[in-house]
Amino acid sequence: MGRENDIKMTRVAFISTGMIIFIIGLLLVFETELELNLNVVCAMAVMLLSANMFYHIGMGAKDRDERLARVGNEAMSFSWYVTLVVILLSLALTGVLDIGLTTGQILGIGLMAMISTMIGHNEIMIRRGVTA
Amino acid sequence: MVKARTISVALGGLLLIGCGVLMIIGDTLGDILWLEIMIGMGLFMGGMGEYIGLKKPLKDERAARIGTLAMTYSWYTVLLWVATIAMIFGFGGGYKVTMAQAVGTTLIVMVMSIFGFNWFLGRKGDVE
Repeated sequence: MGRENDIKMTRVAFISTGMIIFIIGLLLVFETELELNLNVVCAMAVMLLSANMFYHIGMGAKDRDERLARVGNEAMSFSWYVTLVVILLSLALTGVLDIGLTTGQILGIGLMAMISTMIGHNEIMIRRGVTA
Repeated sequence: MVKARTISVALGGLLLIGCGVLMIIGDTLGDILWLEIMIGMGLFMGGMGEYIGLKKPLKDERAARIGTLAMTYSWYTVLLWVATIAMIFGFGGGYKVTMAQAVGTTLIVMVMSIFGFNWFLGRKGDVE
C-alpha cells in the first residue's frame, strides 16, 4: 500500500472512531447513566482515536505532511476554542436557568462538541485549504 | 496592544482556574459563580487569537505555529481527561463525581495545558 492509501485508510478509521465517540456522547446526554459495556467501548474508541490522530493530522513521525499538519493544527485550535465556549456556556446556562445538567450530560456535550468540531473543521479546511 | 491581550488571557485563565477550584471544593455552581465563569470566559477568549498568534492584523508565523501545536496537544489532553472522567463515571463513580467537580477539573486541565504547552513549545522552538 502506498502512502496515499495509508492516509486514506487512517482517515476512514479516524472518522469512524470519531463517530463512535460522538454516539457515546449522545447516549451520555440522553441516558444519563453510562453502562459498563458502553464504558468499555468508550475506552476502546479513545485508544483507536489516539492511535490514528497524529497520523490523520499529518504529524506521523516518518512521513510528515506539512499541509495536513497545518490544517489539522488549525482545526484542533478551532475545536479547542469551541469546546471551551460550549462547556462554559452550558455551565453558565445551568447557573442562570437552573436547568440541572447531570455529570453524564455535560461530559456527553463536551465529547460531542470536541469530536464534531474537530472532524468537521478538518474536513472543511482540507477542501478549502489554508491560505491565511 | 499584544501585551494587553496577553494580560487579558492570563487574568481570564487564572479566573477560570479559580472557578474550577471553587467548583471542586464547594461542589456547587451557586451564588454568582456562573457570572465569574462568564467574565473569565470573556477575558480568556477575548485575547486568545493574539495569544496564539492567529489574529490576522498581528499574525506572527512562529507564534501561530507554536500556538496551534500547543492547542493540538491541549485538545488531546482534554479528550483523554474527559474520556477518563466518563470511564470513572461509567465504572460506578457517578455518585462520587458530581457535575461541578467534573467540569471544574476539566476547566483546570484545559487552561493549564494550553498555558503549559504554549510555554514549553515557545522555549523549545518550532523547528521539527
